[in-house]
Amino acid sequence: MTGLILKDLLILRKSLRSYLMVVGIYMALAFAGVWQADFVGSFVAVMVAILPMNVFAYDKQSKWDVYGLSLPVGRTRTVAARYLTALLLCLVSLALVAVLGSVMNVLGLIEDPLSYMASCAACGLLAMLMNAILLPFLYKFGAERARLMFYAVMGAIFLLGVVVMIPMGGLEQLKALEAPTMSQAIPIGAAAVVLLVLFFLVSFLLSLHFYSKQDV
Amino acid sequence: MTNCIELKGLVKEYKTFTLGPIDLKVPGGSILGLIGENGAGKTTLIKSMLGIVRPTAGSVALLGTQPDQAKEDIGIVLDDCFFSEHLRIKDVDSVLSRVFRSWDKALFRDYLDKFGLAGTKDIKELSRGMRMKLSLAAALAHRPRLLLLDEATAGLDPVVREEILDEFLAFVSDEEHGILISSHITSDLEKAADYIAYLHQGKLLLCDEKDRLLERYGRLVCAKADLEQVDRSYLVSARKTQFSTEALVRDRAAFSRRYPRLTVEPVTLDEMMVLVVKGESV
Repeated sequence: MTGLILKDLLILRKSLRSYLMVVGIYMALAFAGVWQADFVGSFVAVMVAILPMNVFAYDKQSKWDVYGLSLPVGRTRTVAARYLTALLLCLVSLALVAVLGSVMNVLGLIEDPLSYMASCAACGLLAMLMNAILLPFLYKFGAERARLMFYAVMGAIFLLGVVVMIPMGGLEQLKALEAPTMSQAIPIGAAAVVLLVLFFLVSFLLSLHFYSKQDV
Repeated sequence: MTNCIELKGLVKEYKTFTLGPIDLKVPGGSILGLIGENGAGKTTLIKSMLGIVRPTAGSVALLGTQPDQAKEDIGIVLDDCFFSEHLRIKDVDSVLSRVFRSWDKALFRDYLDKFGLAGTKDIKELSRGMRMKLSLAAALAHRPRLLLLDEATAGLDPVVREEILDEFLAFVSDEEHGILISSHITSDLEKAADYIAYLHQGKLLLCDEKDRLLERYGRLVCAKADLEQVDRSYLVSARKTQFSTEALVRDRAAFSRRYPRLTVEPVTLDEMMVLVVKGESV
């Protein structure tokens, strides 16, 4: 299984390099005060969610999807390896944003470090959630169609957000909401993690179901 | 001697195409050449054997066991290189050494040297021939006992093909080893294969020892009127064109005894395929 994870990371090598470069530019702009540092977190969440889609597309292009099934790995471990790759990418990105946040904190560029970390964690969870949604689509429909569906789902979520927020007074009203205290945030965070783990499990089983029925 | 491949009543059904039922045995220490026109079902057969596509019916035993349990001992080459262009040659080593327990890094490097492949090269820089060699090196480096090759020599120049065929012959010198190779380059199969299986429109038309096949079958070239006189049970198919009439004869010796006046020539695998595909069954 480690071989499959390594393969996924190696074929993403170039994408990761450009992705790191873009993160670097975004971080530099955050340093320069063009936008707030926690914006970088949301950018990372979207980028990380897209990476597994690239792996599926590359595999299809090189016929690895056929070859992979001839390897002594089995379908369950193949799907598990893909989920672990996605999880690993989310965690590494989260760690990267946290490290950069710490640097900015030391330089005094972050007003509220706790809020920054909470925002990063939320973005990390969001990235994992997006992956959990996306991966079964990729196994069922392949990269090309899943990409369109993913953008449609994201667009729908965004529109829903706008529709819900306008009657509430828009973004300003949301910003005015009081941030939860640490004692409130910990159970909320823990519940979010538990829900995400359950979501990931359901997503994995769904992907495995699709992949097991698939003739490549 | 155990069979490396044993298929019993293997069927794979699609909406517009059905493969099988296929019954096939490949004894250890031998090469089976799988021939057939495009779309005859050769790739589907290989995929069904490996469980890449799920057979509708029948059973598959590879190296005396279930395909999933035999995969550690199977090397596969498809008609194209299945390593992403985003990888380097040495990445293949890093990845597959973690997939196959028996992966031999030194042997892989030996094959790379033998095939003139530099490990630091990006796969996207390789020509088609080089990519096929890389696929072969990867298929052989975990010391498999069975090789399944789908058009593995396609697109290679004759010198490289010769090298690779020598490699195959060395591989099957061990009686525990076996190869199934599907190819359109029938001259390669005439050189290397011990058995020939001919797949036509999803059905196994014939499967026999190559030498016996080439000795037994023949090509009759005659006048249209002569063909009309021939007992149909001697023929597999016949092809009539504006300029010639030819037929594939089932048993050359028996035919010559019965029709000494008509000349039956030895037939090549290519001619056999053309006569079956283009001719009318009789």
